Amino acid sequence: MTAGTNDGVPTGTIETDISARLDSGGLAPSRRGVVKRKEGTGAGDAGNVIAAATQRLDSTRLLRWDVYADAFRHELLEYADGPAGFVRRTLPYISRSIAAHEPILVAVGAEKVSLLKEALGRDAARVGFADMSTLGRNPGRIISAWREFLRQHASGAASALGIGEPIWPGRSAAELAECHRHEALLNLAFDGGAPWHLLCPYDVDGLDDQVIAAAQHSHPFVAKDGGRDGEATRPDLAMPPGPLEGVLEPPRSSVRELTFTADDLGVLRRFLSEWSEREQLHPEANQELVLAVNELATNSVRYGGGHGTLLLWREQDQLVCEVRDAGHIQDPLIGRSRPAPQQHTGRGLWLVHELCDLVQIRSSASGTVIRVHKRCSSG
Amino acid sequence: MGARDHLQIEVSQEEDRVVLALDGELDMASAHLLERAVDDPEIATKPTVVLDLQHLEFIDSTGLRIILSARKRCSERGQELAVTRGSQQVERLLSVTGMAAYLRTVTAPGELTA
Repeated sequence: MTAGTNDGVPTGTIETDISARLDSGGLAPSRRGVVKRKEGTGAGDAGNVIAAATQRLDSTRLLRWDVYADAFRHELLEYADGPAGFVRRTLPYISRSIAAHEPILVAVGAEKVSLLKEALGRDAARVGFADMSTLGRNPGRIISAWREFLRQHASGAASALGIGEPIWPGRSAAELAECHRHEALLNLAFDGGAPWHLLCPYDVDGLDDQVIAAAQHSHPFVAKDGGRDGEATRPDLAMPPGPLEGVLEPPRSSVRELTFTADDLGVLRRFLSEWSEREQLHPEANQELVLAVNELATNSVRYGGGHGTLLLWREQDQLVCEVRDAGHIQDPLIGRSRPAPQQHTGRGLWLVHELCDLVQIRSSASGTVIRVHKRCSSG
Repeated sequence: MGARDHLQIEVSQEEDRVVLALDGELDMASAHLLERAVDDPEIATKPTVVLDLQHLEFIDSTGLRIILSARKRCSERGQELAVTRGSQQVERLLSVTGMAAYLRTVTAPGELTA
């Protein structure tokens, strides 16, 4: 057993019938009580696919998993052979969680959602699904969604399973940059919190090697394709750069610019709205962009030295707005948690993430730059 | 342009409620006007305060915060705060933030079916 890499966290939620073996391995008893798993019986009322998938997980691997089940486990799951390979790789994990009565949320593309539902048959009703192309178009929304899932479905549960595929072939360079930051932020957001398992499937056929390599650095656990199911290694985690550090590529087309203070927020909104309209942004999207940029400008006035600069330009089918000010954002997870309705403050950047297709935040002692993207294509 | 130019608040006393009709834009620059209007002792005399948002063209998270503060202020005085439905922009913000379900919403300032 190679659980020694886990630095002494081995107090799992442990199935009674394997606990003896765990005990003989010198593991402490569970902190959180014993989960009554029903591996064998749970598969009995599922379809053949589930039964087969469950059988593939032999007890040794189950034991490995349970060792970690008392912590957040952020795991890269490499898969080949397209959507079929995705289903083949993820199904054993889903089946096991179903058998363990864990809450499950799968956030992947629509085609994979359909295929998984088909493979799961009536057990699909036990699984929550979300279309990642909507939910995670802006990867800055995903952590907030996982928090909601845990809050609504997993409070009190011994563990939970999330499957989220934030990166798919066709993501732009800017989107990829934010996705990698998102993956690193997941560790910051959930390490040390409630135990749950987040599997991040990566399409090794469709994605560049450097994308996979970057993902390996943000995931404490990596399940290689071709490796045994459930087998994971802990690669040397290179410390990722600070999530808000770095600089953004300069605009590649002509830029409109407006400086503003507290008195100019109305002017700024009209300036932006007229430009967006000329650029043929859909009226509803225009309203959303104006609200988002107004939130950024308000933050500049309130926290960024009382004034700021707005830059506007177009990149292919996207309108891009950037707000610069002298502020310094300290919390790398800012805006990645949905505020409760009764919460009075802390809503601005969360809203910006909800309203925009991509949000890029860079902040240091020399100032803050926040760039938001809104797609022009209607619908 | 001063705050008064972009938000006007008209207060009307009804039998069982006081209505604050907001016209214009509720943001960081105009938020204090609503704050002051809600603090006014003359609106504390009726069981219900209605914020009429039908002519509010723009609201942001600062505006929302002021509405939440108003709700708290009213509750401390034993009053209930209700809002009417607003423009598309207002409705979008209320729905995306989950506030539409949290705040008591009435279809019109005169309709207060219990």
